[in-house]
Amino acid sequence: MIKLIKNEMIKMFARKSTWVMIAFVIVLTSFSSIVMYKMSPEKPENSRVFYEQQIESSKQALETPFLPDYQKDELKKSIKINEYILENNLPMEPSLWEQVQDNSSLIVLIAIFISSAAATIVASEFSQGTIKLLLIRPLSRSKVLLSKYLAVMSLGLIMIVVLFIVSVVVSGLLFGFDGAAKPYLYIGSEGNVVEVDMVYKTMESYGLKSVAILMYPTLAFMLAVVFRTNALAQGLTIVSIILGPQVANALTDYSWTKYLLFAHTDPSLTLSGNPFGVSFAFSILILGIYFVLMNSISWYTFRKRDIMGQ
Amino acid sequence: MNMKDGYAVRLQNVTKKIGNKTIIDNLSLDILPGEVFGFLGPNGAGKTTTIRMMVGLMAVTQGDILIHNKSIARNFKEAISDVGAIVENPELYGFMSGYRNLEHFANMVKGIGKDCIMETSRQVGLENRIHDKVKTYSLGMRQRLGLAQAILHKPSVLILDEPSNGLDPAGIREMREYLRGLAKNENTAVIVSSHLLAEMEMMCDRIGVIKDGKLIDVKEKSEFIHQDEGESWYAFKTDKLEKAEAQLRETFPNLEISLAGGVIKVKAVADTVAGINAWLVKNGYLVYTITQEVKTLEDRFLEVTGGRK
Ligand SMILES: Nc1ncnc2c1ncn2[C@@H]1O[C@H](COP(=O)(O)OP(=O)(O)OP(=O)(O)O)[C@@H](O)[C@H]1O
Ligand SMILES: [Mg+2]
Repeated sequence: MIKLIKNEMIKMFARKSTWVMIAFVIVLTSFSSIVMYKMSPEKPENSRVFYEQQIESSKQALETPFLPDYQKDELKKSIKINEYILENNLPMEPSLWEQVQDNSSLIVLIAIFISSAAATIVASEFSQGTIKLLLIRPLSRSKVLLSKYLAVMSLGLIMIVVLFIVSVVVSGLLFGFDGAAKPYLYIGSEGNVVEVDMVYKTMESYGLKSVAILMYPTLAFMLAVVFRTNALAQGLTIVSIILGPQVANALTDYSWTKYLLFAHTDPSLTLSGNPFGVSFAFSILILGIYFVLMNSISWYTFRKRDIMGQ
Repeated sequence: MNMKDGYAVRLQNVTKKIGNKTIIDNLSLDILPGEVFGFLGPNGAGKTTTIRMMVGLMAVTQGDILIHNKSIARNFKEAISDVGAIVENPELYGFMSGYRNLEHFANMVKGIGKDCIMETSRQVGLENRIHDKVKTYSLGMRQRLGLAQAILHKPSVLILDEPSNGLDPAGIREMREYLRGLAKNENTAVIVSSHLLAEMEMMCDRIGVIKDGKLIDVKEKSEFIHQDEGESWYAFKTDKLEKAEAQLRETFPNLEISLAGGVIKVKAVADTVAGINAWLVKNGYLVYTITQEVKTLEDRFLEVTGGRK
């Protein structure tokens, strides 16, 4: 099995696109940290003023006519958090960990990249015709498919590690490695401000957001096995990644949306108040069902399929 | 890897249906170790489909395929480990070198080392280009690399779909000699497919003729090797054609005789032709010319595969 995964890794890294994706993650992560650095107040003395200004501008924004409710909520929350910082004299300078935690939002980008790699690793064998040579070896088809799946997931893991390390190194260089650890703040269910240790929060974010790296590539993988064309599998998956959660959010009024995959691909939302009003355990259950279902379809189809000409 | 007695490959009443279309129809065939067997048939006859089923890429709808008594459907891993194959074109990974391609496939079976990969690339005459990317290879070189991946694990059953495709004459000859040697020295069962009759006659011990998914004939070597010394068509140009033809039919009732295009056509061996000529002259006909219609390979292919009718 190790040899098979190694084979798949070699093929994956023989593609330029894999390296381009990794380079992209590195550049974007650095870029995101640098932008944050430029936007933060230059002198610590100015920090208080900076936060006061932020609160002021949020309040002004609230006055805007016809503002949708959810945007009003967001603004009110941000005002509350900023006021809380000022009242409690919390460290105000942006810190290394705050930035690393912030960069976890780039995991969506990795999900897109890995989905593309997942579709390619299956569909390319069909389009190149190499599938014929691959499946006439003394190995079960399940094993061949598993080696591909594990290779893609390893790439996902590699990219997350790259994202994390680059975040720590670049943010550390910019904000200093010894900055005071500002807690992570959010509005709890009773409308009060909750403090969480930032390093803990960072780990949690990376862990939970990685669910997207598990689910979307699995979707792409399944589509590639079923349709055998890269464009279709990639296209559908990327559309799902970008539009799925938005569609799910827009339709929260309907009760069935809570059964959609897209309502759960960021379970960290569930922890800080999920728009679908479901529990964290429910999210995990739904994700598990989708995960098993998609993989069952992939494996069943791949095992049964007649390999014919293009 | 020499195999015990018995059949190398057995196809037992193999039928393949796609939708409600029957692509292979109740095909049965046994292939022995050490023989070179050829599938001959026109485009769309079902050669590739049969080969795809033999290597487990497609499932049989009915019947069974055994490789050394192991069913490819029920015992895939054991059955396929005796098989090396090229199905249709030898498509390999263009973005990797020939060597990396072979290494890739070597990784999928147990116990194939570097030296074995290098030896195989020498055998197929690719040692000078083996470290170049496959996308820079010519068609013939790809065919050679395809052969290399098929023989890498020294299989006792070698199945090649149109192996001469893309090879130059010297390459075809080399391939032919190599495959014959493999059958003779290693007792390998070699199965090839082609629509090139001459090629098949030179290479094979037996030829199975496939048409419309049916195995319509299996020819032994003795049946096709001396073909040219048998009967052929002769055209007699005489005066009073109709009358001559009618009289010939009476006199030689066992021969195929017809009148076409201003000549009398007779299917016969050379001695009979001399006799017919003597008879015509004796009966007062003027014989202007007698020409033997040399059959082109194309005619013979169509004849063998039943393509013209
Ligand atoms: N996916 C498919 N669906 C339906 N019919 C198919 C399919 N693939 C092949 N066929 C049919 O099966 C028949 C046999 O095709 P096959 O490729 O085995 O022929 P072949 O003898 O290898 O021909 P060639 O000399 O052109 O390689 C053809 O009539 C073809 O149309
Ligand atoms: Mg064919």
